[in-house]
Amino acid sequence: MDMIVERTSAQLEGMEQQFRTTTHNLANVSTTGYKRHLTTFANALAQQMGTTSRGGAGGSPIASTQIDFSQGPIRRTENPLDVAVRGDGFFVLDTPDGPRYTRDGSFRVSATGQLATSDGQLVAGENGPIVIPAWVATSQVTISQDGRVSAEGLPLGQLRLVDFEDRTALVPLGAGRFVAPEDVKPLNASGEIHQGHVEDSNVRAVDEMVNLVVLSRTYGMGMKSARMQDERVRSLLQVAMS
Amino acid sequence: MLRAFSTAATGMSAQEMRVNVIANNLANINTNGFKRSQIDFHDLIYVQEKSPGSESGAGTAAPTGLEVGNGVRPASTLKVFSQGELEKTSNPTDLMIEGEGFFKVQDAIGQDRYTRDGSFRIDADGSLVTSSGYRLQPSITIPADYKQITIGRDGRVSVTAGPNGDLQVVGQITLTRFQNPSGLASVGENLFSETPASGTAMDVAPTEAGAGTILQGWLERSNVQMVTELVNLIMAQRAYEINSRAIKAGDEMLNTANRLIQ
Repeated sequence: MDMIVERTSAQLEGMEQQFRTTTHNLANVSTTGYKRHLTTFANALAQQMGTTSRGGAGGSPIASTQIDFSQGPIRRTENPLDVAVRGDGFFVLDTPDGPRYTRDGSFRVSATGQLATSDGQLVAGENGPIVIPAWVATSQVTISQDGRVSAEGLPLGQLRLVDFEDRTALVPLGAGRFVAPEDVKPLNASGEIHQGHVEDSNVRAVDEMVNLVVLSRTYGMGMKSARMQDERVRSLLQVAMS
Repeated sequence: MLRAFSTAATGMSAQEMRVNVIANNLANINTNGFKRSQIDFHDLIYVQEKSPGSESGAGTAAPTGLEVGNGVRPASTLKVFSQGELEKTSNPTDLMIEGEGFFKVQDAIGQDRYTRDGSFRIDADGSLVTSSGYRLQPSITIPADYKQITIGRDGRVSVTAGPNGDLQVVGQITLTRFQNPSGLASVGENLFSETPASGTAMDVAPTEAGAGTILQGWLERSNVQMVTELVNLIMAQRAYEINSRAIKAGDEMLNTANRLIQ
């Protein structure tokens, strides 16, 4: 009996978790470079036994979040410093706290002429930050598919693009940025860079809305089953007390 | 559950902000030299309820953690300095910059301001001024008895004046460039002011160093494109709507939970 109650309440809790993830995705439907979050459930007992079989008779589901790193749609902008990655790879930002990885390539020129994000974090090149000389107009900057930045034929640097063997190790920090644990080393990435484009959020509103409907219905069912169990306990108590 | 409501609310207010930006772009669709803005969003920081690799049972570690997002925030507005559409006016003091430079003018309190709006006039003193009366810098004075004004692509201003109609050079228009024009602050009246983010103003001669060339008798219209803005408006409206639906769905779920206890 206890186990049934425990399981139902864990399921409800899991659904609330899923609901929070869905609303977060929906809030970020127009965030450049945003990657959709997923809530997944694993059977606790199966996990304890070290198997992934779904045949386990008991155990509460354990919620965890994963990030769906699939490609978002690429949208054309008019800004020559907007870059999008098609395929694998993250841009690297050199922040005071260490390297950060992002798919949001809406870059700017800082007041000192370096390629930076909208909040001033420097974009890493293969040989240090990319500096755009003062005489170069931003419309003269060209960025090739392999990330070479040049202006009027003068090479200015090469954008650094990295990937990870195990992307699940990346931790989201907000602002479209991820941090990698120290033991996870970045590898070279194979993605193509497209100048004058940005990668939109990979949240698909329809999918998330379907999620919402399913969640709200199954939540109702879960609540109903919790109520039935409550009634059963109550009638048992009545029998025992009489 | 309650946190989900505020998450959806951040989504709604972000879209509201986007609509504000679009509305301002649309309102300025006929403003000379206006540059459209676009808004960028960032996802908010995450709460790590369970970190990846934490122990989930006897000797096993969870491969993924539990991170809960808190929604979205508007990160920045970016002014897009792409070239606006050209319009032929045939007015000799209407100027257009083809390139990245700005005209420098001095406002009422003597501060330098920068503009792409080249609809200049001649004031009572014979100086070239903007439609608000701000003087072009360095100032150019047109003789009172002028017959014809010619402004070259390099910014040289010459007039035919005097009884014999002699051609004389009366000034040279210089342009100003910024390392990061998107960092300029808009101060209204089609004017921009220098900020630490824009970098310092660099005075350059037209045709030099990407400043652009000057076209006489043309005006630069706004670079707002109606179709793009309307499509963005629809997208913002729909995104606003789905975020409000999320709140409604959450409300229904809470309602079911409330009915649990009778």
